[in-house]
Amino acid sequence: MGLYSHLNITSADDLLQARNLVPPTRVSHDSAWTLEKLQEHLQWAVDIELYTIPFYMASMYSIKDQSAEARRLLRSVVNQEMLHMQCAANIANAYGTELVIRAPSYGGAIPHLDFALDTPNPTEIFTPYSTTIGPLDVAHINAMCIIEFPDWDKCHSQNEGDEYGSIGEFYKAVRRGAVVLADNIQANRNQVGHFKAIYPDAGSLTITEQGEAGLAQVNNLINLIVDQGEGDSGRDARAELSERTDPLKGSFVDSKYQNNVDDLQPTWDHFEKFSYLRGQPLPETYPITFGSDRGREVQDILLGHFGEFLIEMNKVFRGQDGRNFGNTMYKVGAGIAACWENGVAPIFAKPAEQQENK
Amino acid sequence: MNKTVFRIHPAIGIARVGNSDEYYLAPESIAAMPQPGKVGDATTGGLPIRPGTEDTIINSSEIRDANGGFKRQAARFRIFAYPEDGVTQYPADGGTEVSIGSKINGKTVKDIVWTVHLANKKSSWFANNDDLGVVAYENGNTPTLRNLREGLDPHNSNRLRKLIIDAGPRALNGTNNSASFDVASQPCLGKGACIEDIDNYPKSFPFDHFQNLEEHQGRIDTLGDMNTDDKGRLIVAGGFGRSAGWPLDEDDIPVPINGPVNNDQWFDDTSDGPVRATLVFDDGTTADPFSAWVVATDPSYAPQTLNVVSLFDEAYDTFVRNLDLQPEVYRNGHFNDDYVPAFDDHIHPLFRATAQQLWNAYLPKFAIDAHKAVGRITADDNPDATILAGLAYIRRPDPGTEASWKAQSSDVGAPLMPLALGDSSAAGGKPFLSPTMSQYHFLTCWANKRYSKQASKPLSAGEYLDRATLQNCLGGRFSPGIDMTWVIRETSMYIQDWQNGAGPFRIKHKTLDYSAIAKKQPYLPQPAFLTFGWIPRHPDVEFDGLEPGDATKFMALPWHADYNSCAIHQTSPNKQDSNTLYWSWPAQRPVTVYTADDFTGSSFEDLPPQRYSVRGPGTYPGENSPSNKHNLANAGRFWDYRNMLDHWNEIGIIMQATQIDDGKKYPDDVYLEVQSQLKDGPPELADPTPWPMVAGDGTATRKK
Repeated sequence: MGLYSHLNITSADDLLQARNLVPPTRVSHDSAWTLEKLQEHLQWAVDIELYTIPFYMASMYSIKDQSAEARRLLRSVVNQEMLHMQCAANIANAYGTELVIRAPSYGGAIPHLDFALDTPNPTEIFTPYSTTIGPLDVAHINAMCIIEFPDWDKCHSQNEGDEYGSIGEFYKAVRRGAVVLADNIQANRNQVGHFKAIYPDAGSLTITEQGEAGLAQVNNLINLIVDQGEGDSGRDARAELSERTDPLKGSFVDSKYQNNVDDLQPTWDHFEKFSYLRGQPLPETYPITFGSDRGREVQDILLGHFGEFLIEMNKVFRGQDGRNFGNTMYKVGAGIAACWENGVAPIFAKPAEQQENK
Repeated sequence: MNKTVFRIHPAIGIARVGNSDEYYLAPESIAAMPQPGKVGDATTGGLPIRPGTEDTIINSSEIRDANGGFKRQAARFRIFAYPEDGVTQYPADGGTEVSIGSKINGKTVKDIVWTVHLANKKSSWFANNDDLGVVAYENGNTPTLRNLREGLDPHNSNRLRKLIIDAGPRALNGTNNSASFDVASQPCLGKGACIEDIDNYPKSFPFDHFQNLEEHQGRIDTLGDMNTDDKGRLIVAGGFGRSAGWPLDEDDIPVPINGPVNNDQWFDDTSDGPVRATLVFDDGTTADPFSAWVVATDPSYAPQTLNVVSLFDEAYDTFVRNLDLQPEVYRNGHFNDDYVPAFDDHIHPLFRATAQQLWNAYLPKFAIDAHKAVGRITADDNPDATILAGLAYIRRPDPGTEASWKAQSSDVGAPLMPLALGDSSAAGGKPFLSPTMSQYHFLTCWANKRYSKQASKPLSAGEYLDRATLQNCLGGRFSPGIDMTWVIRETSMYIQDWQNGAGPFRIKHKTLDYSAIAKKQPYLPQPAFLTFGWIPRHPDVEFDGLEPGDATKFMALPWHADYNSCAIHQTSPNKQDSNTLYWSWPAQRPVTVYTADDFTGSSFEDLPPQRYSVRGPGTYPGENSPSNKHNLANAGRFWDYRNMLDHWNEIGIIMQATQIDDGKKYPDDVYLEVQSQLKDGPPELADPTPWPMVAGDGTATRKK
């Protein structure tokens, strides 16, 4: 059980015990970057991307109509978040990070970020919001908008030691750290290369080079994440926010990062898609009922699948054989659907009392 | 004493063309499912049967004759006896095969007289409207007539005489006899215990009416032959895959063939028609079983790949929801929530079909793994714990009105299954295929743990033949299809009061008055015997029954062109102008295959790279190619439709390794292409790539 030993766990259940991680602190000066610091950031990058996947998937499968525009837009975002997690993990591995992937914690603050540092503060614009796992509703769409909130240039704190305000800002720091520590890039270390067929023009989705060439690949992956995600225009925040609430006004994803295979709106970044959904009637979602034995059973099954999926991800992103990765991933989706069908919300971590009992 | 009802099974038999005089028998087991009565046999169903045997399936060396000819698939018909009080339900009670020498109700069957009448009406019929399907026939409308140059009145007898290939009827009795539906032989008809010649029957073949025919694979001078075996069963083998085009003038050579479905000036030698029988008993009495129908159509190049939606699924759905087939399943416009479907009967075939798709289509590894996981689901598994929990990946059939199809789940591609192109509809076409309403209902029952492991009342042997035959054919994606098209959903095509003995899925025959022919003046030009025939959604004729040729006339002309074309396409409609390609008929028209020649490993994990099923010279690039010759949408098919007319018989068959007898060792669970005579593709053509496949200029070209 080499993997369990590396992860310091005894079973998949251990990975399901979500923990609130300490947010990364800002690194503002090149001299402050160390490899350990960069690896911490990259671990957090993987955590951030993973955080979005169950959160968005749960909302997506809560929508009854398979063809609903909201469901299709959400699916396109979920797929790209999986790509982003792969990209973040590939960068992390190129810098020698020993990744540990465990269940995200929902219901509290959005991890790693302090949006109060942003001007405007997205948590004041997109309110009310909820970070609990739940159906697609106002509170969850608002949370999605906050998560994908663009990085407004010069609108945030620059103080060393503060938290980051947005994912965009966080990646901006990672980009700088990657440059400073470019000599540490290892080619072909635990790289995973899915999604290439969907993004044939995006360049290499893996880090296959060292040094300058490797750094260019790192930057490309960061560009992909930021460009598809919350965008990074460097423009005035309020003007852009106004424009972005009308998605018909612009295209925000570079053509090479667009999914032209099966995305309803390949030119829209995630923030744009969620902003658009805020202006649309809410689709019909599965109701939460008072619970049933079967509901609890499907929650447990989903939890089991997600635990296996965490194991598979830890394997895959450590260069081990993850032959069950795909099927386990599909089972997680199926488990989420089964939860909603049975009137219960999906769960992705052990409830607190179960953790205490262990 | 309880009376006996006799039926011919299968109710619809499927023969398939080949360019060999030899034939094998149509499969009598369901593709991808266990073979009935062969517990523990690793070979799944769907493979043809060696002639002269009950159920010995063929090996790979039996696909072609000694000269390399592609054998035809013949349909075998048998007669079954049922107690009269057991036929009002489905499945029926009883069902015992009756052959020459059988004793029934104290009488011995002395002889069986069979009559079959084959015709091809494609050239005389309407052009197929892929998007509208049957809707094009509603409200008194029809699509545009094919071959308008031969006359604007579809009912004009001279037009019909020229454009219908009609061999006339043939009859046979006894054992090990044969007759041909050719130019030379005498039309004849079973009449009670006797066979009577029909003098002056107006047989009609293309060369009777057109000069300078462009003929491929030989002259269309026959639609096949019929035989009896040593028990007096009937075996019908169809045509030879020939085609013929007639030029309008000397400047019209070669004859244009520019589209997949509706080519004027062309004939092919597929056909269909009624199959009747008379049982002759030793006491001089006779009995006429409920008749059957034979359809002779395209070859089946992947006989063990089950279609996710098959002709049986379509016919069953039609009968359940419209003809009261099983009131316990569906009544008064609603599925019965108390009905408990059987896993082996209604659910497992869908899972097995899913698992088989990889052999004919190029799936990414994730999809292959997922499909295999679906195929492994058993009745003992907790549905909630499987990869199909919540039916998260099943595309819902459209529960709403046809006009709203465009806005429903038929417009959503991956990861919903099946990831195959859609069907015709009132709204102008569905981008993606869905299970039938019945299939989806049964899946819903399974997902909610409301199912039994096995059917409480299995089909009788004859009913199983009905099902196996149709289940091995393509359903859905009727654009127009391979074997039969959307007509399978038309209630007017069938004997609707099936409870009176006929049983379900039995085509209604139009009564043909052959005696009228004898009254004609023998030396005067004969009008066509067959009429324009059955027209769906036209109440004046739609309930009259079908004539010979009425089932296949809706299909592509010539079939080769459509087979060539329907590999991978963009969706239609394509609201986003997406270049993404999807499979058209993946189970029936292999796109990419693993060849036995390439396989050198010892397990499933050792599969070699795939090749296009249709490959070699002519597939790319073509002389005089239009500007999009590098488009991946055109890969894996002949650039010039005409090439398929000459090379369809060279395509290989996909067969489970257990039946490959080339001397190599293979694992049991792989299905490999064998007996292809097509050479490898030109080097400029890019190797097949797994989905997502994207069309566009340059996408088919190997990167330098």
